[in-house]
Amino acid sequence: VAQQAKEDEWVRKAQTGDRTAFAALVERYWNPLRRWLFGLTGREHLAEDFTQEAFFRAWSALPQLHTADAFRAWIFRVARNCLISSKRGPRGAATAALPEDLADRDAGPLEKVVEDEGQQQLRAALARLPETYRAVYLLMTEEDWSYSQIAAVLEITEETARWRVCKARQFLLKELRAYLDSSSS
Amino acid sequence: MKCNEVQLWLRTSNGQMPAPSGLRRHLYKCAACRRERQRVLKLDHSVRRLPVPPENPATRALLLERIGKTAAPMPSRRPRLRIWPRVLRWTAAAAVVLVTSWLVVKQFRKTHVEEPLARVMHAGSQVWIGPEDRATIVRVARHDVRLAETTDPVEQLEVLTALSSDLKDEALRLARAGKSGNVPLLTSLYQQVVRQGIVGRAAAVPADNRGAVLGPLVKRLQAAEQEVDAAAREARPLVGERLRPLSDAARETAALLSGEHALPAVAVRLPAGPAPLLTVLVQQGLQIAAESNYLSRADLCADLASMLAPAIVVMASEGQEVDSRDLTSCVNELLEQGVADNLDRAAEQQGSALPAADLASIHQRSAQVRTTLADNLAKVPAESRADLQHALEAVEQGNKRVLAAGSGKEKSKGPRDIQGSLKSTDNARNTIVLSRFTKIGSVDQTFTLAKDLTIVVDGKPARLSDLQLGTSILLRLSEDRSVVEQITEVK
Repeated sequence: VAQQAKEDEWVRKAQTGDRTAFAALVERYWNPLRRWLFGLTGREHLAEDFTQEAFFRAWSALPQLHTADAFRAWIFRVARNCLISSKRGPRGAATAALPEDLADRDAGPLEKVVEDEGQQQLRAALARLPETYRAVYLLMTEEDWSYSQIAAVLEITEETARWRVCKARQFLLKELRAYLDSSSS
Repeated sequence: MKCNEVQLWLRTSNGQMPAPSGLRRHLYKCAACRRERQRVLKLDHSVRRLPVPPENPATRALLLERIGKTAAPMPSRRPRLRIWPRVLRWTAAAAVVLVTSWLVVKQFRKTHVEEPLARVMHAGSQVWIGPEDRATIVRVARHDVRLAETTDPVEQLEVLTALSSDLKDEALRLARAGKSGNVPLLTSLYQQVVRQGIVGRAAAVPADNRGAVLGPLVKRLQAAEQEVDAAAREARPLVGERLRPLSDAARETAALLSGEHALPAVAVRLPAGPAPLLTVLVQQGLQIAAESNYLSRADLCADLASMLAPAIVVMASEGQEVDSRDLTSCVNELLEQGVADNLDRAAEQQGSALPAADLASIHQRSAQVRTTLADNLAKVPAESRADLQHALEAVEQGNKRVLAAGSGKEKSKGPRDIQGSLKSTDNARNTIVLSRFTKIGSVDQTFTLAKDLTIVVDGKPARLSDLQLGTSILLRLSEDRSVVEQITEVK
């Protein structure tokens, strides 16, 4: 309760132009948002760009947010809209160009990390999962959100959210049967 | 429930919905669905644990730089508040500050006074969890839940037989794996279950049904005896000797149940020293099985739930998400089916609300589960916090049920408004079939229509034939939920 109250206060202050309060919101939601976007795009630099763009848009649109306690769902919705508009081609909002001295993440040490076979299979299966299912399933598993919260973010009904999770699990259980049986024994 | 319904439920469950009792019963009996459940849990767990590439701090710094260069958003205009709303707002703010400070101080004190996480205390004595006990604890807890749900001696016998098989299998597994240190404990528990639990419950089976029930049970005990004897012969002499009490108990109990001769009185001796949680769980399960008084059953279940809470913390902190979630599910079921349902039955039997002192004591013990989980939330490793948070949220439902139980009030009849799609109509029987997507998946439900049924399509009165199959409709049921009073087409 205290945490939520604090967050509401940051939102209210940020709505009046307080950049420090907005930085606190960025601190809190940066990683969850980046993780979700990474799950959706499968590319870390895209996930970071969209996260940045989502927060930038949110900063400009904050006064339109009527209830401070809805920030969490709202910022995810903004991120999703960024993702959608990026797919609509040149009309979509362009992300800020990265400075030249920014380290090249794709060539970084992460490339050298060898994931175990199970994780590779899991990532590959997730990548094959249709994005509409993946978006819902990742919000449920990674963020532990309820169906009503997911429905609010993705602007769908709770029943649709439930159905998409069902389909996502059905797909992944089929794709990963061998891995799940071997690791659960 | 059928396998396909259970599997549909498993695929749509988000861990926040309590499992219907039919589903739990099915899972208890169906190995295939249990495996499917393990797969779903493993899948979610694996996805949750997928590593995310490390963040590039420069991107976040760039964002803050962009924001710094951008004009602040125009604040929305808000109407000026009158004096009283302002006073109320300041009072509320002061209250929030006071409560927050109090919570911080309380938490600070607790952090510095409580025992370290590894020490699991129950009822003033130390309870420990052995390194090989985790999986067995979860299985025994699940048997305890089943014992909490039923007072039928035949069902109880079924559960106790399964419990004894699990203990025997674990003892044999450890003996074969060369880890025989825990075998004496498991054989002691097995003796308790068969000689006290099974014999005691067998005596409660009605005489006319006893032959049919005990016959298969005797055969299972004889098979267990042979299995253990064979394993003992193959094992090293010392390990074989440790297994002998299992076959002795199986043989003597089988002889007693088949009426051949009396079972000699055996004092089961448990290892001295602090009790393993496994022992406490088995003994508590046996007590619940033997108890017929509903209030006492509720009391024992609350006690059991409070014992399992530290085990959830231990398992969560060790990163054993599947076991921790299984145990959480057991605790929640113990609160709902063991405590709340038994309280309701006690109130129903008594015909009035239960004594406040009894209820308060049980409520307090049930609430202990939540307290244990909440107190340890900040102490477990960061990566385990989500599991414990999940447990905390899950037991909230059980606690709510416990608080509402035992009041002697009539249970809710369910909602009056039900939405779904029209599957079929039967004019002869005056019924319709509605297809609904519920927590257990898609189900078809038949409703009888009231004589004065009204149907609304596009805001206008209509006839049943105006509704096309597959149309989304909203039913308004009568006060007693027996018939449909109104059908409205939903666009």
